[in-house]
Amino acid sequence: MRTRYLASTAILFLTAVLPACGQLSDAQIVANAYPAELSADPDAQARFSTFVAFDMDGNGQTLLIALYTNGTRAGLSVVNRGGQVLSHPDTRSLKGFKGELEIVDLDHDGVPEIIVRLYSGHGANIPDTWIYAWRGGQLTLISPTQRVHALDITVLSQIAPVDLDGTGKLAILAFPGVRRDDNGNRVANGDGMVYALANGMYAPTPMRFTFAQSFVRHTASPNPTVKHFAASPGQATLRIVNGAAPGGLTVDSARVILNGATIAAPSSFKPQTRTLAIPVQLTTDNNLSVELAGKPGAGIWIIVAGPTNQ
Amino acid sequence: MLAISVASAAGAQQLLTVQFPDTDRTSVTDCATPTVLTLPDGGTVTLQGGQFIHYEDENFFGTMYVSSSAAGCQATGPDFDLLQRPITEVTVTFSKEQSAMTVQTYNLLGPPGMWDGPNPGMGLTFRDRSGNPLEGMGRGFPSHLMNPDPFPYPFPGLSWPPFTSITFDTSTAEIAPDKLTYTPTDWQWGITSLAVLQNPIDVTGEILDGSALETKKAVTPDQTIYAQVPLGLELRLGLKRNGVYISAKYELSPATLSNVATPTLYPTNVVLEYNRDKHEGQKTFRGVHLGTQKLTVTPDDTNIKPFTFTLGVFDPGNLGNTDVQYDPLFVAWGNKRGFPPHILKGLVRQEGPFDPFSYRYEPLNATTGDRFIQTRLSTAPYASYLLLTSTGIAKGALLLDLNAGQTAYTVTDDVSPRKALVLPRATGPTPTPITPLDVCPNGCVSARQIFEANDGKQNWSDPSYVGNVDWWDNQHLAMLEFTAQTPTAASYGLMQTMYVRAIELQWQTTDGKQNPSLLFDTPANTNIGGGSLSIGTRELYSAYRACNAPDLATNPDFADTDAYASQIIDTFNWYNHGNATLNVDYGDKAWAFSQQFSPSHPLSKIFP
Repeated sequence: MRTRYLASTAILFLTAVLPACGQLSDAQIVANAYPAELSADPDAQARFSTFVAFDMDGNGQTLLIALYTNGTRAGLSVVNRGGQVLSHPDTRSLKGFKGELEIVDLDHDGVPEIIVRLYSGHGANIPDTWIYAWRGGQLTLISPTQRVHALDITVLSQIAPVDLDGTGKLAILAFPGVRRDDNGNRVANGDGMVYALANGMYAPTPMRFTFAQSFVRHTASPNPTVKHFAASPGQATLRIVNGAAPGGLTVDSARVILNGATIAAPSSFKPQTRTLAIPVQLTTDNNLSVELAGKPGAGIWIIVAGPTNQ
Repeated sequence: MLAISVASAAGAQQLLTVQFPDTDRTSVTDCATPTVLTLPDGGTVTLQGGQFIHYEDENFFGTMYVSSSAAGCQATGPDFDLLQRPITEVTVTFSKEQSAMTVQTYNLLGPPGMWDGPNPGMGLTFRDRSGNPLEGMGRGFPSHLMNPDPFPYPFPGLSWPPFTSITFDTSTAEIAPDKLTYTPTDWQWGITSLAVLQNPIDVTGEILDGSALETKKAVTPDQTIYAQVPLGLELRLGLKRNGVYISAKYELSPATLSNVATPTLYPTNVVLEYNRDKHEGQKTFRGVHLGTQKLTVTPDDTNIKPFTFTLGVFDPGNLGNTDVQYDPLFVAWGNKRGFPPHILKGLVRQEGPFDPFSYRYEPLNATTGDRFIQTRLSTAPYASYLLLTSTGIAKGALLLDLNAGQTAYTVTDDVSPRKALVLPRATGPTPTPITPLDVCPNGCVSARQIFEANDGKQNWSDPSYVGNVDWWDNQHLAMLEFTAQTPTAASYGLMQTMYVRAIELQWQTTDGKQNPSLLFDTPANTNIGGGSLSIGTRELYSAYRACNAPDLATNPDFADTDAYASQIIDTFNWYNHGNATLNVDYGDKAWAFSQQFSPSHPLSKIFP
């Protein structure tokens, strides 16, 4: 079973394993390990931390993966329950007001990677995202950055890990973020990109997408979920990936209707069919209807790639 | 130091020392080859009969032009001296006529001079362009005496014509064993300094936005020069003489600022000086705070006295030609924090169209949105600005709720921005805007209701915002079953500042208020320290300090415009979040926008 925890989930989990009286709580251990470079900043206005606890080495020893900010700069540490900082990578451009942690086994090796989302506290509240791997007892940045003037800037904002090829190694759907149009409305800011693991690092692939969304079967009676999205008119490919969450439940079948045309019917979902690639015709404004059949929680991804990005 | 002011029709002129070349040579080896030096005003002076050497003793250290009889510079014979004493002769020839000069000489060897007997002497003959003698001077020449008075031309009190060349003739003393104890077999002497009248000094200024260069003529060190630049723009100053900029040290004195925010960039600077440690002919400054600052310009030529400037930075007025109604806000906060106003305006424009009343409720975000507020319902100051909840938590005592009980929002307060959101109504199929009646206890509105009715427009559940979290499943919808705190879980104003961010940056107005609606960018709010620009510029301040290691906030040492721009662009890129496509060029684009908003300052003068 793939490991995937949000920080808040981990905190709830930890309440069940509070240490005995006299010992420091995990939260105290994390607080005590607040990075010196963040506390030394004379302009620091905030002191934020969140963490997840996980046996990263598979040896029965829970480690605390802690994200810190001072309201502007951020730091990531792995701390053992003795309070020893085992790893604190120097990611100079890690920045943000507050953040969230998620651990997901992205490379299917049984050791989860750490997804760091950092928010600015203004604007559209979309995070910067960084991904670290735990290798040889150290955190290693494996997500792409780009040098701009003096900063190495992450090129990831909001992301979604997806098993596109059924290998268990997850690609990253990198959403493009939003911008405000001349009327002040927030609109998609270009195509999304897909990153894949190559030599232990996430690297861009040629694939772009104009729309990508997961659809999950809810507990209520199946009803079509309708989405609208803008696109450049023309030929495109609509990919259906069976399984919304990494390692999660797959649907038994689905009916997908695009602009009034059924492009995937229940009969399209044969056993063992993981992905479908369907040529479609896009218009400027597209109407996508998705109805799922299967157990509650089962889901699919639908990814639409434009004519030049298939 | 030699600096003599001479009145002239063009203004005060100065005798300036001719720069002698550095040399490692310590003895004279060639008396025949002339040496040509260029003068600051573009003319030349040619010296012949000696050689530049490095010399040092207890009286002198440096370069002098030396003539030495022992080195073969001497001549004897009746053509030179009737007594056939050894003679050395040096000629100094100017390319242009000179009306005034001084020359300082130094006797390296030889006897002390005596006025009542034979002694080594020097005669100077000033000649016209044709070589005809005009005036002459002579003097007994004391040994190793650095400063007998320099030879002046004209002699004080006299009116002498311009000359073109000088002949220096020296001779040893007549042999007189009864009075002298040395054997005058040879001697050497040197010219240690030569000062000639130079043209007046002008100061030039140029605002680096394409404006024309301005010149203030014939400035003198005894007057303080006022030069000014609009806030945010760059000014290049230079001292110029005869078409050539004078290399100098430009040194700012710390300024005392008023009406700035705490914290602010550059707390002791009204202007930034680029490449401040380098002596240059011209120096560029950028105005960063309103006010004045003293600048001392010390020319490398020590014969020119330092000049004193007062640099003024003034309100730039309109920033470009569009959306100028917001410019006073950018000027106010640009000045308070040390950011050029037009660059602030460019940043805001990069974020989208200008909207001082921009408002966006954030139901989902757990760090600054309503899911965070729900964890702070009893925490100050959030508790003071709550809407009454369905669970009975009281309405905040400080909540500004001017429309309470009305059927529609008619005035802006802390609650009214929620009118941008709609709710489904039992009275009709079309959702309608929230009204003042949609509050607890009778009309509680949950975050879930708002989410479900407005997600189609607000796109809260769009993967660009939330990734692969499905907020439409029942489990997640159930997490939104709480009374929506639309005042405190929202972003405000031109810079779309989240209220939570403002509070954690310890924002409050000058009268101690923390009402969310005071984050709208109105002039009234700005006047009391409100508006999103107060927080946004505070964020920029922190981003500026965090993005690069050197302390460029209190010790701003930029090499040039590009270095400054790079720092600001890094600041913007640090400030920006969550836009994958724009992350890498956000700062550059904001900078590019700012150039559209450069103040035009149509009537301003650098030297008013």
